[in-house]
Amino acid sequence: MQIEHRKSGAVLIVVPQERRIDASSAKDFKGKMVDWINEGNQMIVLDLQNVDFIDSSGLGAIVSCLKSLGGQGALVICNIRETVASLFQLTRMNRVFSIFQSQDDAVAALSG
Amino acid sequence: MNLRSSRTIKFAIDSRLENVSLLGLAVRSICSSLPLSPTEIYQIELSLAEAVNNTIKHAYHGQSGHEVEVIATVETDRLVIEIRDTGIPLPEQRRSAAVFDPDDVLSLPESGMGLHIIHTAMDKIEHDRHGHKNILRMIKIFERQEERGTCK
Repeated sequence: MQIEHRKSGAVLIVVPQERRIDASSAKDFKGKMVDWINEGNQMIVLDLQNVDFIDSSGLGAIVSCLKSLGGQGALVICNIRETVASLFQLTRMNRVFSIFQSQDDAVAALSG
Repeated sequence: MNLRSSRTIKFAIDSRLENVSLLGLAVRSICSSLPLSPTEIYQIELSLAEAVNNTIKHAYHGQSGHEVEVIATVETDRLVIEIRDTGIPLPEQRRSAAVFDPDDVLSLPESGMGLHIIHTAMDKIEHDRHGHKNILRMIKIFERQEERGTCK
C-alpha cells in the first residue's frame, strides 16, 4: 500500500494513496503505521481524502494503530467521506476517533 | 417473489481476498440503478465484503482455489444478494453488539465487527444449506420503484 507521510511540527500526517483499506491491504497498512509509531510519532493525522472504502478489517487495523500508541498521543482522522464515515457510526467507532473536516483543522487540534 | 419483474446476475471469484473488491464494484454498479442513497450503497458493498471475507477466511481457511459465488437479484422493492460457498459450514453466529468503553483504548475490538455490520446494514439475513453449498442471503428493501421496461 502506498502511503504518503510528512511531518508538520510534532504531528505526523499520513495520507493513504489507495482507494481501499480492506482485508487484503489492512496488514500492510498497519505494518507501516506501527513502524512510524515505533519511531516515536505519537501525534498522528490520518487523512482519508483518497479512500472510498474501508471494511471492518481496515477499521480493525486503524484501531490497532491507536492501541499501539499505548495511551500516549493521539490518532485523529480527517477528510473522511460521508459513506466511509457511516462505517464508524455502524460500529460506534465515531465515539473513539476525533474526526475533522480538514487536514489543517486536524493538525491544529493536535498542535494546540 | 415476482418472477416477471425480477432480474438476476451471477458472478464468482476465486477465494482470494484481493478479488473481493471486484465483487464490490459489480454490486455497487447494480445498486446505482436502484433507489438507494450513496450511504446505503456503500453499506451493501460493505456487507458483501464482510460476508465474502468471512467465507474466505473461515469456510475456506484462507486458501485460494475455491469458488465464491454471488447471485444478485433485483426485485421491485428489494435487492437480494446470495453468497454461496462449498467450504466448512459456519455455525450461525450471534452478532456481537458494538459494546465497548470508548475511553478504554486497550479494550477496543479489532475484529469480530463484520456480523454486526451485516445485521445492522441489511434488512434481513438468512442462512441456508443446499447439498454441499452454504448459502448466506442478505436482503435490502428499498422504496418500491415504478416498473422499468429494461435493465439499465
